[in-house]
Amino acid sequence: MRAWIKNRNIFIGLSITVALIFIAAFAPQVAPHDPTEINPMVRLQPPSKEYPFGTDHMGRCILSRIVFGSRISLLVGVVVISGSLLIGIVLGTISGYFGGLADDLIMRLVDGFLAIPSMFLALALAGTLGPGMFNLMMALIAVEWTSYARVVRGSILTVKEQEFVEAARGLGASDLYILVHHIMPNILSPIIVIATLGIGYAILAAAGLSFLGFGVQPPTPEWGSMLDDGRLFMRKAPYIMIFPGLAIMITVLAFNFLGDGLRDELDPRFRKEIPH
Amino acid sequence: MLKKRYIKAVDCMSFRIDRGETFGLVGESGCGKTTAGKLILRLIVLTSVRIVFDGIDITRIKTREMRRLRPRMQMIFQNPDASLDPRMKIEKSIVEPLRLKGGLRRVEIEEKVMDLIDAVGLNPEHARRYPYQMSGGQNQQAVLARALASNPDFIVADEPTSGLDLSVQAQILTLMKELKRDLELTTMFITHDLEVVRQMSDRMAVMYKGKIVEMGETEDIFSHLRHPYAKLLIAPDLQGGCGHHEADINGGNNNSRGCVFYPRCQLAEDVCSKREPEMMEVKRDHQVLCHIF
Amino acid sequence: MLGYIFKRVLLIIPALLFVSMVSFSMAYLAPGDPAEILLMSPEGSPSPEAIDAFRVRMGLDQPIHIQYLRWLEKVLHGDLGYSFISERPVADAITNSFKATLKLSLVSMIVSIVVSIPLGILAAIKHNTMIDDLCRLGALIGVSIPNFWQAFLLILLFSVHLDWLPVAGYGGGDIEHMILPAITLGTSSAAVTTRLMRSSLLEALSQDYIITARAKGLPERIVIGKHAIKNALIPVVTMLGLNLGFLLNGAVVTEWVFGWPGIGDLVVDSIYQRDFTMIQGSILFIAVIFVTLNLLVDISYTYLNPRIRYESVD
Repeated sequence: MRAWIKNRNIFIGLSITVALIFIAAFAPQVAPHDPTEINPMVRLQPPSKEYPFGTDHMGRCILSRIVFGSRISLLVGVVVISGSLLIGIVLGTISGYFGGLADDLIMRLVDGFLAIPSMFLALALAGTLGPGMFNLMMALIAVEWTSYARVVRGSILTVKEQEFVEAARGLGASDLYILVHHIMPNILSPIIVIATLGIGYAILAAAGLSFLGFGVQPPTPEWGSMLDDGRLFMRKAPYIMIFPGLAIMITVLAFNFLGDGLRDELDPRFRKEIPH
Repeated sequence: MLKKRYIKAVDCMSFRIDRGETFGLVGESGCGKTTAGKLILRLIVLTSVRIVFDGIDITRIKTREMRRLRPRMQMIFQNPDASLDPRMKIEKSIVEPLRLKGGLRRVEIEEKVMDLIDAVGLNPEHARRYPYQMSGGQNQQAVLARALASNPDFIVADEPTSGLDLSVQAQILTLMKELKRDLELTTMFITHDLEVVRQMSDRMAVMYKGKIVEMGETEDIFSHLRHPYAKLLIAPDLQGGCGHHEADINGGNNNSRGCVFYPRCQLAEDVCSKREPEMMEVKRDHQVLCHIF
Repeated sequence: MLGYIFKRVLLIIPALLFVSMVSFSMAYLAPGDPAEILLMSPEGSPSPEAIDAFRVRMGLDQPIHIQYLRWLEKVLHGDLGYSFISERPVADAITNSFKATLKLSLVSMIVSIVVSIPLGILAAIKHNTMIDDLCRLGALIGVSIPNFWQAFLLILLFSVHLDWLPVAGYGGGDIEHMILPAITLGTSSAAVTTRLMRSSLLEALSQDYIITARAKGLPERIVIGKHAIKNALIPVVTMLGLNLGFLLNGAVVTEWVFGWPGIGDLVVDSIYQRDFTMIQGSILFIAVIFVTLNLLVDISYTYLNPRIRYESVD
């Protein structure tokens, strides 16, 4: 397990992620100002000592908004992935382990969802459900669960056929026991990888939707909507949109690094553990 | 367009295994012996079979009752590395049947596991390893330990030594003979290796394409071979392997009348292509499936 | 083979049915009465009579399953209805927008391929060197960068500061207007393709026949060029179908930022304006296109790769 830290990708990804969590958790301490404090006297100030990232069109400190915005992004990422994982694992397990009619039905459902390109579906859902963070998260979960269901189903199909599962059945184990003790531990690896990468994707999608105006509403500081704010002031005050965008990119990069590293670590080892 | 094609793996087999004896099942790869083994333990379910275990017809009972019976009949699979959960340490795999049976305290379980590890010839430090850290032979020892953990009456061993080095094979076989003697086990030994079957089993059956073609006491069969296939199999110039048989299995399947061995039989007569032979008792406890003998 | 195609086509039908239901219900997910919302004006709420009249005109007074079936029937005849806003045929708007998206996607795809394949090859050849690391980092960044931010950075640099290119708009579909959107849209696709090309080539280079070719004394360039790259390209080409998804998804935001009048832009606008018939029609349309193209890609992939033709891929 310690060898994992040696993996460069994991190291970088984990470091940034931990830093982000720290910033999000201690936002009030980290941020120099109140993110929602409107101060028309100092609007559109370029970066300075007082306001390291400058101020936006309402005189709010951009750095503080970014710091508090990390809470939103991480929350959205985690909630969306958790929700998608839950649905995906349940349906994927029923589909993969028990097969039959349930499998067919669930797979047709997945096909249906996948027929619409994800951004369009998320947009349509978020747009029609109405604004707000909750609706945004629901829309993204509705789009994301299908990938997890498929991966879980595929992994279970592979593991199900292995001899140690048959051996466990021969020992007198029930289906539930086999699922929990034998199948789940053996399908964790791919799930961890896609979940990690998924958080990055969810954050990106959420930012995009918020940028378009669906999702988190002002004055809540969300990185995507901050970029939307900055649109009008692109010439005069480009820093309003440069910094939030940078924040998004670094965050997503962190999860992508982490996911890549985990994939490298978990994949060949898995192969090593099942020889022949 | 959507029809699947089936090949009969097991077809009209009937045999009996007495308590305490080792019954060997030989045949080439693909003749259905593994399927037979799994069928007996109801790991594969078919409705047209009837299996009686210690007086209980296990083909008619419910799944829950079957689960309760399972500790008494265990199977050792062909590939030791694959039949152990790669995410579980060896000791956890061995403990599993005890956990599933329930009713033992932790101290008793630990003691029992140590006994088992010792009985199969492993060290306690082996027990703390993962399957990928051990050799094939060691893993097979672990599988044996796990199979014995629930104090079974009956063990089906499916090619337990194929894929292992010769020296390790001898080790495992000796171990199994000892255990069988010490624990008074009844065993069914499935293999394609004739030396092994001669060494290990009291009585045996020869399988061809899902049918038993000759059955009886081992020594008797080896010294008085009757069935043409059995002769081919046990004669020294037989080339092993499946190459021939793929073609046979696919071709011979269509012939539903007549002896299944007819296409290859050198002593075949007319009747052999027209009627299926029946099991005939040529001597006391020596049966042959053939028209000629 | 035909059997396989037939089966796959059959499988699409439930999915499309589901899509039609989802598209249709978009209008009803929204809180509030569509009629009331649309008729709302600065003078105040619309009168009940006006609402009723509007509803009858738009067919909103029928029970929902009737509306669905009516709508479905019209759709199957190619009639996607009329925009709530402009009262012009939805189908026309959609096909025009889609042409614009198609144009942009094609150029983006070309940009993506032109960049990613050489980079991927370079990274594989210079395996484990700084160049390889840089390429991999670049690819990772390409996947992580928010496309709207990238768009703005490009606009900031090329339009605002350098004034080389126009900020936004269609401009009759000329190159000037297409460059920045195409780069933005093609980025994530390029990133993924680069990584794929790299790993595919690395795998090809480790094959036995390469070692044989080297042993024969063939010069390195030929070894790599003829044999390895040719084979390494196969999975990349087949994966180009996947890139479709990236392009369509990216189009939503990219088109909107650049004011490119494609279907992504259309969907965003119609959601802003609560133009429900337009939303219904465009979602359905894009889904049908997406599914059809995926099917074609799948079929051609199976055709090119006979090994999986006879295995069930589930």
